[in-house]
Order: sequence, then C-alpha cells, then structure tokens
Amino acid sequence: MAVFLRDTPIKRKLMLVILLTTGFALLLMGSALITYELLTFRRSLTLNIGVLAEIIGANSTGAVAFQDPQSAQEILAALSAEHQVTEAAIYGEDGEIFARFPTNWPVSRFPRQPRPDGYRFSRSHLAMFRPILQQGTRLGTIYLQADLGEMYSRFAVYGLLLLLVGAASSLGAIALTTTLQRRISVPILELAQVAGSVSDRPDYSVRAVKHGQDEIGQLTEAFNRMLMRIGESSAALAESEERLRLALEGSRTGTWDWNIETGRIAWDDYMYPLYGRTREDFDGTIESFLKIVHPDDRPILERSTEEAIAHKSTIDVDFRIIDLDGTVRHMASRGRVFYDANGKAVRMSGVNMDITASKKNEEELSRAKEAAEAANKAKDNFLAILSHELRTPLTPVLAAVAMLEEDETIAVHLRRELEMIRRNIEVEARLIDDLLDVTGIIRGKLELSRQPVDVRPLLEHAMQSYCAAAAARKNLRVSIKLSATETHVLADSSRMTQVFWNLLQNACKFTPDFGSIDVRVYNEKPDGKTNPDLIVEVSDSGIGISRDTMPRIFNAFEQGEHSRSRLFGGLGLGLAISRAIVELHGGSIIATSEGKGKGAKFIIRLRTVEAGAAVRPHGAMPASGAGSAISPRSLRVLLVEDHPDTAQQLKRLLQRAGHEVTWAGTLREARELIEASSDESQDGGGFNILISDLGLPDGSGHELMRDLASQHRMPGIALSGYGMKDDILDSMAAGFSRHITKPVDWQELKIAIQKIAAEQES
Amino acid sequence: MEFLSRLRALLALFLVVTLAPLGAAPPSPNEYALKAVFLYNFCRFIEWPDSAFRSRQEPLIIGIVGADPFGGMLTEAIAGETYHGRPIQIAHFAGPRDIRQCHLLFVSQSNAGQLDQIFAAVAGLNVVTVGETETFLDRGGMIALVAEQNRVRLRINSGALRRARLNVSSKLLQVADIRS
Repeated sequence: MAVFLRDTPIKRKLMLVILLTTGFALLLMGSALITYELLTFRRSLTLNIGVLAEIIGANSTGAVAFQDPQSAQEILAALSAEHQVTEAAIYGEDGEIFARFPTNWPVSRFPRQPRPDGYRFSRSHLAMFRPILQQGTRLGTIYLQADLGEMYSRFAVYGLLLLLVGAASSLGAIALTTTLQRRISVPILELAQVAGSVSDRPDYSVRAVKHGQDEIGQLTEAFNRMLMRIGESSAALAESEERLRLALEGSRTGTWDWNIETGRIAWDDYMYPLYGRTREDFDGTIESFLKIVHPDDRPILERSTEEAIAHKSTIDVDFRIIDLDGTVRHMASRGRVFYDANGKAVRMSGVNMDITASKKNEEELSRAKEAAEAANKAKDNFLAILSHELRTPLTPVLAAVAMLEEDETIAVHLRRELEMIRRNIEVEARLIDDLLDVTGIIRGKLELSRQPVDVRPLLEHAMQSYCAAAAARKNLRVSIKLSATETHVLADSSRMTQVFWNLLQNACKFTPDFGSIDVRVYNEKPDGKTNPDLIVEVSDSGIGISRDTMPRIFNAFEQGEHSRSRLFGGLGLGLAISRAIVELHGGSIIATSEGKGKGAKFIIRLRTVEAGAAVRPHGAMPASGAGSAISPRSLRVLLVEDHPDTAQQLKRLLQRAGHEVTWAGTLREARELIEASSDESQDGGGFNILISDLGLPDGSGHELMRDLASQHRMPGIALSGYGMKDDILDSMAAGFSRHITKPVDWQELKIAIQKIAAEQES
Repeated sequence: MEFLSRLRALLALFLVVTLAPLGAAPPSPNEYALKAVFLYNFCRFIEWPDSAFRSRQEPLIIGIVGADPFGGMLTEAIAGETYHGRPIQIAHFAGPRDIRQCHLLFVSQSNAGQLDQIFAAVAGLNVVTVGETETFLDRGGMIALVAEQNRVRLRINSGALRRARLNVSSKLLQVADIRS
C-alpha cells in the first residue's frame, strides 16, 4: 500500500486512508455480527429442535410402547405448525420407521435407520436424532430435520444492511474528508508552493502562512525560521564574498588550487594580473608555473611544498617570480593540504600575494637599522676612546701629586693645595670611569668577577674613603646600623664598593649642611628561599625626589631635574651604573622618597651566600694594610711607558720607595735594555720586575711580557687604560702577575710590587 | 444396555416373524407375545403407591389367574427388568381363592365366569386388573387388551383405576380408549 500510495496526492491519500479505515472497521464489525448471529442462530435452532424432539419423544412414548403408530402420526402432525421442521420420523426399538412426517412422503425419503444420537449440520439442514425414553428405558428414536433457509435469508438481510451502512458511511466519510482534509492539505500545498517559489527564485523574504498550532503549524513555523536563517546566511555569504572579492582585488591577492592527483593548478581571475600573465602564458601545469618562478627559488618552493605535504602542515613560502619584461617581484604563498580518507595528499590550495613592496621596505629598514647600529657602535667606540684618552693624562698628574704629598719638606699650605688638586683629579677620574662604565654597560661589556665576599668591609671602606671627608665638611651626621648576621654575597667587590660609594656620594651631595645620613644593613628572609637576603638601606634628610622624576632617576644621563645638574654637578651616571651593577649581581635597587625636600632612601637587596666560601677581597681595599706586613725590598724595575710625564712620575715614586728604576719608551728599547743587563747578571736578565704599559708605539706590552716570562721567568705588572675582564685575562695569559687600571693608584701599585717581591722571596 | 439389545432382538423377532402376517384375525400365540410386552409396559406408565409394598425390597408381582396364555413369553419379557429398583416377578393363581399379594393381575379369557370373586379378592388393594374383553371393563375391570383386526387395542376404565388410587400416565391414556 505504501508503495502504490507514494505518488498519490495527499488529498487522495487522506481520503483513501479514511475510507479504508471506515471500511475495515465496518467489515470487521459486520463479520463479527454475522458470526455471532450465525452462532446464536445455530445454537438457538439446535436448542429449539432439541426441545421439540424432546417433547415429541416424550409424548410419543406411549404410542411407541403400545404400538400405536396412529397416535404417533398425530403427535408428529403437530410439527406442521413449526415451519422450520421439514421432516420428522419416529423409529421403533427395532430401528424401523414407526411414524413419519409429512405422512404423505414415502418412507424412502427418510433415513432408513436412525443415526447416532445428536445433531449434525449439513449445508442446508440440521438433522437431529434423540432417544425416546420412558423411565430410563429406550423405546425408540425421534428424528427431526430443520431447514437452514431462514438462517440464510437472515444472512442475506444482514449482508444487504452491511452494504448499505458501508456505502452510507463511505459517502459520509468522503464528504467529511473533503472538508477536513483541506485543513491538512491546504497548508501543506501552500508550504510546497512557497518552497517551490523560493527554489525557483532565491527570494528568502517570502513566508508561508501559518494556519494553526498543530504539527503542520510547527512545520510552517520551522520552515519560515529556516527561510529566515538561509536568508541571513546567504546575505552574510554574499557580503563576505563581496568583502573577499574587494579584499582580493585591493590586496593584490589571488587564490590557487592544485589538484595533486592530476597535477593541474587552477588560478582564479586575480592570479593572472598578479603574475602578469594571460591565460595563454599559463596553461595550468606545474612546469609552466615553475617557469615563472625565479630559478634560484624553485628548490625552496618545491622543498616547502614537500614538507607541507609530509608534515600535514600549512605551506608558507616566499619566493620570487620573473615578469615577462624581466622584472623580479616577490610573492608570498600560504595554503594548506587536503588529504583523502587514506591520508594521501590529494589537493592543495591557498592564496598568493605580491609582497614586493613590503620586501623592499623590509630591506630598506634593515639597511637603515644596520646603518643606525653602525653609527651607534661608532659613537660607543668614540666614547670609549675619548674617555680613555681623557683618563691617560690624569695618571702622571696624580702620580706627581702623590709624590709631592709624600715629600715631608712641603709646606703645610701647599699640602692643602695638593690635597685639593688630588681630590679634584680623583673626582674627574671617577667621572671618566663612570663614562667608561656606562659605555661598557651600553655595549654589554660590563663584566664581573664574582666571589663570595663580606659586604661589611666594603661598605665601611666606601664610607671611610669617600664619605667621611665630605660629611665632615658639611657637618653631616652619619650613622651606620648593622644588624645583619648573614653578610656574605657573591659579588665583584670593587664593583659593589662602587655602588655603595655612588649612593653615599649622592647622599652627601644632596643633603644640605647639618643633615643626616643613615645606613642600615639587615637580613630579610623571603618565603621559599634558603638564604636570607641582605638589605642595604641608605637614607638621607636631603632634597628628596619628586614624584615626576622618580621613574627616571635610574636612567643614564638623567638627573632629578636639569636645574639640579647645574647646582650639584656630575653627569648623572652614578645611579644608572649602580642599578646595572646590582642587577648584574641578581639583586635589585629601588628608591623611595616622601617627596621633594623630604629626603630619599635607596634600598639594595642582594642574595646572601654561605660565609664559609668567602675569601678576602683584594685590590679593592688598598688601605687595608694587607701589604704593610711585607717589608720593603729594593728591586730592579724595568719601567716601559711611552708617555714621558707618566713615566717620570712613576720612576720618581718607585725610586722613592727604594727601587732601582730603568725606563724604556718603546718595546725595542726595552728589549735592548734586557739583553744588555742579562749579560751582567745571571739572574734572569738583570731586572727583578717589569712594569709595562700595554699600548706602546711599536707593539703591545703583552709581547714583551710573553718573551720575558718564557725566557727569564720575570714577573710583571701591566698598566692599562682598559680594565675589562677580557683585558685582565689577556694580561694574565701574557704572563703578567697584576693588571692595574690607569690612572694608577700609587698605593695599589706599591702593594702589588711588595706582593710580587714576597712571592719571589718565598 | 445388554438387555436393550436383547429386547430389541426379541421384538424384532416378534415383529418380523409374528406380526408380518397380521392379517389373521383369530387370537394366536403372537397376540399373547404382544400382550406380554404390553403387560410389562404397564409397569412403566402406572405408579403404585409405596403402601402397595410391604418392604423396600419387595418385588412387583404380576399375577396370572387361571390358565397362563403367555406360555413363558411374559417371563421372557420381564426377564431382568425392574420397577423402581424392585425386581418383577410372576405369580400364578389357580382360582380367585388362590389370589394373594400382587400388583398387576391378568385375568385371562378362561376366567370370565369368576370375575366377581376375583374383583372381590383384590378390592381396595391397589391391584391393576387387566382383562381381554369389553365386558371385563363393564364388570369393573380396569384395563382391557382387546385383540382387534391385526392389532391389540387398549381400553381403560378410568373410574375403576381412580378408585384403586393408582396413578396412570397420561401417555398411556393417550393411546387408549377411555371409558369412565
């Protein structure tokens, strides 16, 4: 049924369904009725005939018993009133017919012998045999036959009735269906019409009319919602297509699609102008595409394609193409690979962009950057050389002043002048050192030689050597509160001293007369660390730092305020250098101030180390008296220095310390002197020690030292304007025992010489 | 059931062998075979009151006064039959004076002269008297088995039966000629 109904219109389907349902129900009901009627009829007939047989049998006992067929016939004759009974007979005990009805029928029309008791239905009759009993004794058999014609005629009436009712109900159903089905089919047909019109002409603004809240109503609503969605998404799609089209047009971008299996490359319309080709120039094969690509870039293109396929990644490759007129342009290709169910790459597609302009920009930028970097480097080099050159003349001046100060015959008023000269030269040397440091920091060349060191002596030294005098001059109250128990840090002691000095110097500089400077050193243990931190606080009652300048105070070449630089002097490098040093040590430095005129506080935080690992710092504590234990000993010194003034001052200082000094200006001179002296003395060339500048007119002091160290086992001290780690290491590698940075601190040199002398003796 | 088949066989024998030539008018041994069956059949259509019996086991007795015309056929007819569980027996009485306890009394033609004495002997005793002639009824008998043409007709004196306080089935009355 489902199959033959498939293409019938809904209207017909509905009608058929209703008719079939009605018909089936009627048929079922009719069958049930008829069956029931048949059964009832049969039962009641059986009952009736049975009763009849019983009565007649009972009535005829006497007739049978007393052999009175006449009476029996009379009894049977009464059956004529019962029209259902067509024939009847009484059989005697011997089984012979005793009496019959109708009487006029011949005996042969009746069953010759009584059949077993009971009833049987034939097609048209009911035959019943019953015993004739009198007081439990069988006297004979009564036989009755009933006609079933009545039953059949009744069935005919039923059938006719059923047919009439069926026809009437079918007509009624058709009439009802015709009106009712409209409620179903009309909305569906309308829906179909709207759907048809939408598919014919993509107008998503039409809507189907909703007739009710039933399933069809819901369907209509869903359909309308779907139309709305489709409308929205198609509008969005159109918009995005338009946007893409505009974007592709505007950005000189084209799309490509490479079918890996056929090897064909499909280009969209933007690709041809992008590549400056027509459809005749590019036939869609890989060969014709590679012909366009710059020969040098073909391997790159092929390799990145293979990689993208192999690694299931996207392709992202820049390459060059050659235009028909020979111009080289840059292209960028981005895309992805598509795989079939077996993981085989079947397709690759993506976009192409002309990046010639940005490539050019990039190149120009990189050229500009290189130029800028070169210029910056030149500036740094210039600064480095400048500060070195500024530093060099200070060495002999300092040496001369130092010598004069040691001369006990100098008058007291001259002594003060000398001290002033020395202090100012020291300040200037320090300024130049700062400049050198800053250039080092900028060039990333500030290097540290870190060892576990106790911070306390460094701080004390900084306070004594640089702060005490200034504080006394300005009547400042300086206090130090030392509550830390763990005071060892992994540090470059000279650099750390420099930091402390910077802070103390700033404090002195920016605190007016009769102010106070407080230094606190204490431990603080942050969570999760084994060793406590060491905090060094330097606070003053000075001019403070304003909120505006606070963020910039650690920047190089910037001071609190420009007006201040005029008042207080200096280059404003101290804090920048200090911060760089502290941070290189893995620590931190911060500044706090309540505001202008309310003082400032600088807090350094450093990580402590186990005290056991600490070694005594050297070099940074010239006044510690470490060398005083060594008795002065007269040495034969070969001084090699090309700067005559410096050489004269050093020679004089060394001679005063009791040494015998021979001076050479160049390497050649020095070598001659060594050769000459080695003839006189057995002891490694006649000289005990070499003190040599490194930058000499005819070579480096390193060369000389290498010769002396290998041939004569002679110790040496290098003097140099450069004090970086690399410079020191170079000197050590050449064979120098010490490397002293210019301007030469006489005390430092003196101790170095004494140490070498002591080592030689032992 | 065994008895039924036997009875059927017996009746068949009678009807086929004896009734086939029913044209013969004079009484014949066949006539008495029929009368024997009728006598026995009366037991089924007549109800005796319990007072007619002395005990529960007492048989129903068919008495024959004078000569026995049945010649053993009655004995055969009642063989094995019962009346409400009581056996049926035959008693022969030589004359009216010999009549004793019985329930059905056949008075043959030969005793026609002694009818008064016989009726007197059974008066008020619930005894059904069966004779062979119309006059038997006229004289006060209850049922007469009258041979007529080739068959035996039943005649009943309903008044006499009523007086004997005996209940006779209507079915018996139906097939009989009733005289009041």
